[in-house]
Amino acid sequence: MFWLISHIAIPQSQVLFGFVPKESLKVFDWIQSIIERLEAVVNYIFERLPYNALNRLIIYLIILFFVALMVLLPSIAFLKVYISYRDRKYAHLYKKYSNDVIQYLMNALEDKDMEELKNRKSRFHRRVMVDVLMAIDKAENKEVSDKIRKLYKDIKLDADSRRKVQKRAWYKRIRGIRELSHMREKSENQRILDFLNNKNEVLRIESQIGLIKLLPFVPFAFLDSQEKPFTVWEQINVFDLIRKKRIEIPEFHLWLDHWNDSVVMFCLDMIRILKQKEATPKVLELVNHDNDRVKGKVIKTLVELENIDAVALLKEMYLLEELPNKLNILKSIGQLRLEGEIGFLKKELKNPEFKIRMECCKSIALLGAWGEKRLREIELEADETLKKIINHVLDPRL
Amino acid sequence: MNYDELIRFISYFLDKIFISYAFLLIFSYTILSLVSGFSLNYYLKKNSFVDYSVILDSPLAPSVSVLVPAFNEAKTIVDNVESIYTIHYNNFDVIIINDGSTDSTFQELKKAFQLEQVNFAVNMEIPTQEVRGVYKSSLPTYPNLIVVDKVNGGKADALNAGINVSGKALFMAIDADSILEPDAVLKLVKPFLERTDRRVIAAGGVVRIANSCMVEKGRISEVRVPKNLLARMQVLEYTRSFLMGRIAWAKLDGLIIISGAMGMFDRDIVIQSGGYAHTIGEDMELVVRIRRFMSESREKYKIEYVPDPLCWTEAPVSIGDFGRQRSRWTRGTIETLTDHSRIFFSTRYGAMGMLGYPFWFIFEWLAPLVELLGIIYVLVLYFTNNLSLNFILVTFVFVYTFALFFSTAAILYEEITFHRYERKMDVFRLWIAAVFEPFLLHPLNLFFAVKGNIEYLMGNRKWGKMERKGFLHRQSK
Repeated sequence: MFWLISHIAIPQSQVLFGFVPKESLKVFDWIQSIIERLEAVVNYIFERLPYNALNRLIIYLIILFFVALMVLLPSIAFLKVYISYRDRKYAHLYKKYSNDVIQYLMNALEDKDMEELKNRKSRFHRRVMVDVLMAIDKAENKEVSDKIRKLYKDIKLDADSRRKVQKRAWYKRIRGIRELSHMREKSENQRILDFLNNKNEVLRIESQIGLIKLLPFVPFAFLDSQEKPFTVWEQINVFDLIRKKRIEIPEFHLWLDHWNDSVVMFCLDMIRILKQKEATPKVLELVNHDNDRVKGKVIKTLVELENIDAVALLKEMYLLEELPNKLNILKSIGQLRLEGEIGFLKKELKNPEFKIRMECCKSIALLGAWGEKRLREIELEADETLKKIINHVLDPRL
Repeated sequence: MNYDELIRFISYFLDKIFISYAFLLIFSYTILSLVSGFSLNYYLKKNSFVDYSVILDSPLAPSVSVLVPAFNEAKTIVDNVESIYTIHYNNFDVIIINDGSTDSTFQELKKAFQLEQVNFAVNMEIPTQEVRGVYKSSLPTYPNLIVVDKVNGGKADALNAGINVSGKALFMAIDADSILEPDAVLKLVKPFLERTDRRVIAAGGVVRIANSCMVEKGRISEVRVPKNLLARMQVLEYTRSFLMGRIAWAKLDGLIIISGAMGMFDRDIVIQSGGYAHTIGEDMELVVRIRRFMSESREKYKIEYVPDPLCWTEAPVSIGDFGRQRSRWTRGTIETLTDHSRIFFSTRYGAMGMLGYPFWFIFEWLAPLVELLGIIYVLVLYFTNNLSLNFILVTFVFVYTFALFFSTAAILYEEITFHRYERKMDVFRLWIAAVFEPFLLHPLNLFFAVKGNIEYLMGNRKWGKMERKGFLHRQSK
């Protein structure tokens, strides 16, 4: 350090400026005296220790930890002050720009204030401006939205957003996508499309959501090129958007033959939740799917679509199925209120598996007063476990 | 070889062993803190884009059971149940398991929540002590509150009974005295939703110390550094352990413990691997066992750790309570490590076998024993006039500066990430605690860890009792 100062910094300063400021010389002197004292301490210790590599390593590590500590302590103090300053500054600017935008929406913003907005170069300020615009635009009023979009372009925030999308850092790209999709700016659509199969899942979700907003007539086109697993978290985010925004809901059976099972499961869930009954024939085709999790969703979907014809098919499959699917099939009989299947359910009551017996009893109970009466009859000849199950099922508090 | 030569010969090797051990330990902690740093940085950036509220009313969100084993918690159980109901989640139920309390825990619950016995058929998928009855609250404000009254069998047995009663896909096990952050369930559920080809079998979150914090309506309303020095030093310990240790281990896929105070698990996997074992360290044992189960079944899996502080617990403030807790932790660690010794350096178990388990064995179980041997060694050298006082002094300064640096780094991590201690003075107090911790808390830890080892050898498998002081409640005006 001292060598760097005395051999490079001071001569360079003399070359560049023709002089060395007195204050900086004082600082260099002070640093030099500290280094000399440290050297003296180290030498003092070395003289009293056997000369070997280990001792030297320990001393150097002590110095390293000590120096690191000297760096960390002011960092903590600085952070404490900086974070609260940053938060206060953000709150202040947010309030100021919110007022400006409201004035603008009421056509009452003065020219000089508008100029000030346009000429703001600080990234922090511009970030607050975008946040304000996006927050105010949540009201979903078309006239307000149009004006906000105009302001967004007038103060050239769209260029900032595009630059963000082109950055290498994934979190900057996300901010860019979020801003562009909110403002319906389609110029970067191709680039956003490229992020659909990015290894970063957060960027993936943002690009999916961004494309849904940016392509309102084909919002789910991204499913076609979905290579990565479409996680439940991604599905929840997409579904939330379907509910909150006025988005054209597609016929989800179009993707039921997708090679990506996670996409198929999402579509089955959507068909089930949105009750897309026209999808039933395509759902039935998946009844013998290789993936048990897909099969489970198929059974649930068929039940929700109240497809009584499917029950015969499901009963055929029953014997060879794994326990979760067996339970789903038994549940379907109850949910569809198929009194004719009581014989099948009664037969399954002899199964040693507790969960199967429970599901059978629940399905019988779902048949109403008639089912409850059958259960009381069965109880008379039932073993202890089955009696407990029947009482459980017939307890209205459970 | 004469006596002096023999001493020099032994001391030459012991010097090398102790120094290598210290260097390896420091190196490991440094690597862990760096990995944690990267992991935290990624998490914070990622989390800044996450809107957890989308889970709240989604029909795709999984159902969760919150399991709360309770033994002699009469004084606090009603408040604690009410505090659980402050969490933000829709599809959940709360199952309180009264593990044969000898005080009025059950009566308090029955009175406060107007419990009625129901005809619940319990599927004994995991064998437990006899369940005397299952009760449900008749109050419309607690429609999903279930109380299981059973014969005493210990915490593991109570949790197993809760698992048997639960019909949900996931369960969250918490201690009866824990205070949950309102979004704890949302944040713990998220990793399960992010499942790709690797099944998420468990998720843990950061547990913090609530001594001296203000509690209002079952929630932490003001975070403060504990006034009690012992508790304050434990805050540092927890911060180091969670922010710089467990997060790194989760990233390295070597995590073998999720705190018993709060953890979420895939119910099916836990049942298939046999439920909680009747050990002292049942939390650590369960994680190791479900990981073993998945590895042995050749199924891809992962365990996630959420760096957010999600749960607050009370730290012991008396040396007696602290000692019992630490001794129990040591015995629990030894029990788990010895029960699953085949994992040690076995590639079959991946990072758990090659990194997690060896680290716990070498640096958690053996560390206090090595340290004790080191002290004895120094004393022997001193009494045989072979001790270089300068060298000992330098080594001590070396270890101390590292300890202080590491604790300071933990405080910095906390400030960068969650900065829950808003007052500047609190952060300063925490750092002062870091200065004294190596002289005050560390010797206590060493003593109780060695005691735990001895008690384990003597066959002590008792849980030990901790006296709760309770939280500071803000009086509503």
